Amino acid sequence: MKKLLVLFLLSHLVSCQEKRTIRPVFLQPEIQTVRINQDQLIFKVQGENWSGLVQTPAQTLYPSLSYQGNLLLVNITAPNGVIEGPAILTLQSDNDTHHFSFEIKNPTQKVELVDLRSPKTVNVDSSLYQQQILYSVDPSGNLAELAPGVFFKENQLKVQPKTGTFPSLNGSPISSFYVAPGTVESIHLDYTIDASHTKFQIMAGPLYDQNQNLISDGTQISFLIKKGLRTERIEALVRAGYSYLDLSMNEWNQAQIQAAIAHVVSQELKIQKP
Amino acid sequence: MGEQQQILWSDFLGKRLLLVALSLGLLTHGIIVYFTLPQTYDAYVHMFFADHYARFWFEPWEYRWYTGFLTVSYPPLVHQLLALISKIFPLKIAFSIYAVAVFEALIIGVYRFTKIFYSKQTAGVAAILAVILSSLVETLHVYGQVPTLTGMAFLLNSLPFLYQFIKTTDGRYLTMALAFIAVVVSSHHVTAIFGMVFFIAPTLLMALVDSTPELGKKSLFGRFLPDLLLLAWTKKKGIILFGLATIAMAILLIFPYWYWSKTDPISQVSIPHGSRDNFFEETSSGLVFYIIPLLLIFALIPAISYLITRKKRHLGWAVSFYACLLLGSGGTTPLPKLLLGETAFNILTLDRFGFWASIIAIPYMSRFLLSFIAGNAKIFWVKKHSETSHFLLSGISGLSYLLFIIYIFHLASFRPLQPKAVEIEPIINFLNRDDHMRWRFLTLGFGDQMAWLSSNTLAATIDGNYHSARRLPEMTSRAVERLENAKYLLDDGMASLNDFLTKSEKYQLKYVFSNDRYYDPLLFFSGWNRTIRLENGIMVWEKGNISTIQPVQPKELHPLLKKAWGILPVSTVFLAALLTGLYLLYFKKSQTEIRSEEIEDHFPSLIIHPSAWLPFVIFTGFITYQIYELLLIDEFKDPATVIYSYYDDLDFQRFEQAFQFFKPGPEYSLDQYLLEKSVSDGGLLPSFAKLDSIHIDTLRIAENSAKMQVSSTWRTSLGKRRKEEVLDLEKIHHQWFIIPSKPEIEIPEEQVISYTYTLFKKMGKRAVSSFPTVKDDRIKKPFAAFYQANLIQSQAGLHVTGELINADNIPISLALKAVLTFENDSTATLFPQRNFQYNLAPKASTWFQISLGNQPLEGKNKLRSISLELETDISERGYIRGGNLSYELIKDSTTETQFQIKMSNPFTSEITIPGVLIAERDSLGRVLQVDLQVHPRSIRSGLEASFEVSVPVSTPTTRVLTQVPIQLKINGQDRKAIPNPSQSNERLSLLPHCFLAQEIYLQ
Repeated sequence: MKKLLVLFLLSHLVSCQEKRTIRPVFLQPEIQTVRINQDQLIFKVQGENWSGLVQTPAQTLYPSLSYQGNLLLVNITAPNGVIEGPAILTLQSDNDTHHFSFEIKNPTQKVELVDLRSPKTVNVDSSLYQQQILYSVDPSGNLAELAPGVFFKENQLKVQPKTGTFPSLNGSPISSFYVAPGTVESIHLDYTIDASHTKFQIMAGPLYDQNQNLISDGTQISFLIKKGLRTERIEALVRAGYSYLDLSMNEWNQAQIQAAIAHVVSQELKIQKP
Repeated sequence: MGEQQQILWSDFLGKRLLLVALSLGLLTHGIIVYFTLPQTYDAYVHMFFADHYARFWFEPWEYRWYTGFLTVSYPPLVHQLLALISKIFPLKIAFSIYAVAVFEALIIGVYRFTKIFYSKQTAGVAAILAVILSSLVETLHVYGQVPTLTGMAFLLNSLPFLYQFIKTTDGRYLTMALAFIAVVVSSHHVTAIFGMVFFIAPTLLMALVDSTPELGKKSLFGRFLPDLLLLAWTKKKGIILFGLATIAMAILLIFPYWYWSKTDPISQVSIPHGSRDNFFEETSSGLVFYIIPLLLIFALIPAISYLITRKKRHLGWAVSFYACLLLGSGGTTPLPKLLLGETAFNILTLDRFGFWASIIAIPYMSRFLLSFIAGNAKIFWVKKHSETSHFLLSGISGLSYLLFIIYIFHLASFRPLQPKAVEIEPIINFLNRDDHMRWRFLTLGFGDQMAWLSSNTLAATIDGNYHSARRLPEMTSRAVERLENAKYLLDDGMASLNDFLTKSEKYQLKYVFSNDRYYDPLLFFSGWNRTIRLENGIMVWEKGNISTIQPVQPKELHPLLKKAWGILPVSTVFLAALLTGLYLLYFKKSQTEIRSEEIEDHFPSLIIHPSAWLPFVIFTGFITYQIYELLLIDEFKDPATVIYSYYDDLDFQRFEQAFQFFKPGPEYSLDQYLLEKSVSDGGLLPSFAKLDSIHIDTLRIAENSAKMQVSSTWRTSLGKRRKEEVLDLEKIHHQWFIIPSKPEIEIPEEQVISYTYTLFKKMGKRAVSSFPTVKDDRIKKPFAAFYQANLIQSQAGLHVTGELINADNIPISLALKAVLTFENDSTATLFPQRNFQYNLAPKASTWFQISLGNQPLEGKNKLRSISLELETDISERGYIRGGNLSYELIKDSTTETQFQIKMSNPFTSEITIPGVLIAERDSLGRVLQVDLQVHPRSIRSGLEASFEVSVPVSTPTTRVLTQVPIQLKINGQDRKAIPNPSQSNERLSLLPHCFLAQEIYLQ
């Protein structure tokens, strides 16, 4: 009975004993920040059945592991870079799991300046002021410092009232901004007679906005032609600052013409045979 | 042959005939159903429901139609079984497999059903008849109504068990009967409800009479009925048990359906259905819903009537048969409406009654056919006439009946029920890309294929094909079946479609897939723009400034009910299969087999002769008439027939056929006709209209010549249009021909026309990413401005009018709405219809008018304020609104003003629908009313058209109201109206507003 009791106690003792594990020893305690694709982490380990995993709040990475004697070499690679920040390396052997914390960073790489403008399209009829926000990002989407401790810059810009498409500071086509012409300031209307003396050739233009930009192509201009009780409304589109209209001389001799673009109306023009 | 031997021989033949019927069913329906299902009315709807269960088995909320509806509105079994099969096979094949399986079950059902009437041999004939019975063929191949067939198949299979139970009171029969009825309830509730009346009650009566043979010998008006009631009383336990169990199953198995019916009752305007027509007035409805399914029944009605009234065991069947026949006649007589009541009459499709009549008639028809082919009737005929006449009569009648069945198989070819098949893959690709699924879509001119499209996409449409479940007021308030076939639903259909096209923002309706250019004018003038023609020829129309789909709160169902709906109905079929297996293995051999003792094979001469001749006369007559109508009809016999036929061909754009009505001769060739047509005939009437009615007046008629005045009315999506034409006709060799008139064709001066278009291209997303648009790719909202906005009171009610301008340098599309706020804080949102230009070129302006109807201006709920909200967006390509417009005042009275309009076309494509937007102003320049007028003829390049327009003058009572403030908003921001110094001081002003159909310049 006594023997049985001893055996029971012994077996109980053995069964409660925690399995002894040996934690890998990190041999480079001075490394707090790991550069992806560059730095190699070295651990002293027992056995060669280790697997590893790097986790960050944004992604999971699978490092490549190799052995040199009892040293475990860990290389964290990510061809397209990573979202930088705190990371945890998990090393696992059988059921033993060990965690090591550090920061991960991309290797030094070219950053891209982002130049956001608002409004992106400025109409010279309206305000010429633009708000500009600048910041830099690396190819992986990490914010980069514009200057030490400065990540964003905001500027108030006054653009010139000159129409066109203008590149932003980074020169990217997607970031270009635009200055659009405004409404015509006045409409100059004139006419000539064609060589065969059969048509009046009406010309409206040159059509400028208040900043002497040619107004946009495709702007609608309405010609209102009156003769007696008859009214003709011809809508045409402006191209390169001009709009033209041909009228039959026989039909429209002594007619009055006006052209209008939005709320701007030309003087009345009377056309007649010479 | 002794009686026992005869029974054995009959049993043997019956079983063989059943096998033949099953094989025939497999060979005919199995092969054909895959090809006929796309043309059926309902197959795609059931496939859509099946697709729902395949995707969301336990979720009854289906969001893809009508902004959402509950699928518990239809018993689920058939759809769930289809869903299960579709997990292995594609949906169409799954449907075909299921349909054939159910048809086979139906053949067995008919065999077993007939066994309670007559011998097994008769039942075998009945099984073969079921394969080719026109009502069954039509239900499967024309209607695609598999739930009806499923319900009927299982009901017929349950009846013999019920019959046995009543006769023997053996509980096992009751179990089997209930198991099959459970499947009926779960698959088709209407069959279950009416089946109780028309099938189960007569079965009970027959079983009661058969259980006491003496009862059948008693006088009908003497002891029969009292004794029958007494007998029923003695068997009350069984009958009540069966009744209660059936009712309990009907309630419990599809409880969510009853719950839905009670809590969300159908309250919509009745949708017309051909089966409710007066068949004498609407002969085409009569043909499809009464004649085709019941022609054999009518042909054999003497024999059926004789047999069904011979013995009292058939009494219940006689009542059911004649009642069904009467109810199936729809609105031909007032009796069905009186019997069913107004509500049921307007909800039910009455052809199902005819269908049930045909099923009840099967045993009787089979009995007579067997007798006439190989029984006493044949002996009588051969004795009286000859073997040859019997052979010829049977052969020709049989052949013409088979031709009649083939006609039904091809009914969709003779009378197209659906538009041509639309390839749906390009539409699915379109919906899948660029987040197009975030908006609702609508199909036009797809027929039932719209359900097939829905089955293949997760995108939502505002339309749907199951009108019992819809609750959108724009649909339920009108007699409209679907929006996609609105043109066939006349004024109600177009009004409903118009509602959705103008209130598209309300339902986040952004895309229309149009397979029918009939709708193009309505779409264009309602502010829709063509965006792309897909590879399958479908034109995609788009409306700008539409919000993405807003979440709709599903109608909640208790989770337990959802689980019950997903489990109980489908369990019934597995339980029925299991019990059938047990029955066949352990019980069938020991049971008392049904063996009808009725061996009625004597038919009087008065029955044999009409029953033999009628099928011959009817079917050969039918086939002859079809051949005559197809091939032999004389379309040249008189001037009116020529004109009707000519207009019919014109209506369906069959120009080669239309040409044959012109006087033949070398001076007028088909080429010349088509040429003249192409240069003189285009625009709203010739290209976008359907003939509504035609009236012909004879101006002069002589022996060989005639002059006829043709007044036709055409339906267009912009309303009805009338056309007057005078045609000269000449008679040549007993045939009348139209003398071609010389068209006054304008010839343009120029040989080549050039026009400088300024086209725009919205670049869209430049960053190639499926993520939401990056900031740099967002395009600013274009600038626009109001010149004026006025609240006008006129005789027609209130409306908001005004003028606005595209102040930007790019073409824009506009979305305008008026939000009315009342004193009680309630609001109403109204949209402009056609009196507005939805697209504007840079710096172009337009007038608008939004009708508000009659709104209270006094009292506690009076109109407090109006918010006029404009949203702008860059249009895809640009916009041209019309040709050069010249107008001259020709009449100005106190009631109307008339203008002579001359519009010339400087473009390189024709102006398909010339139109003008007309605004009337008061002395202060305020817009009083806006009107759109269109010319029915197109204007070719380089030509001009003259037409008159009349504008009703505003009455003196028309006035501008200033007591209700109008708040202006553009792109969500408050704006004020800006002055317009260039405003015309003319009382009436006109703007061109034209539709250019050619896609060179997509408007």
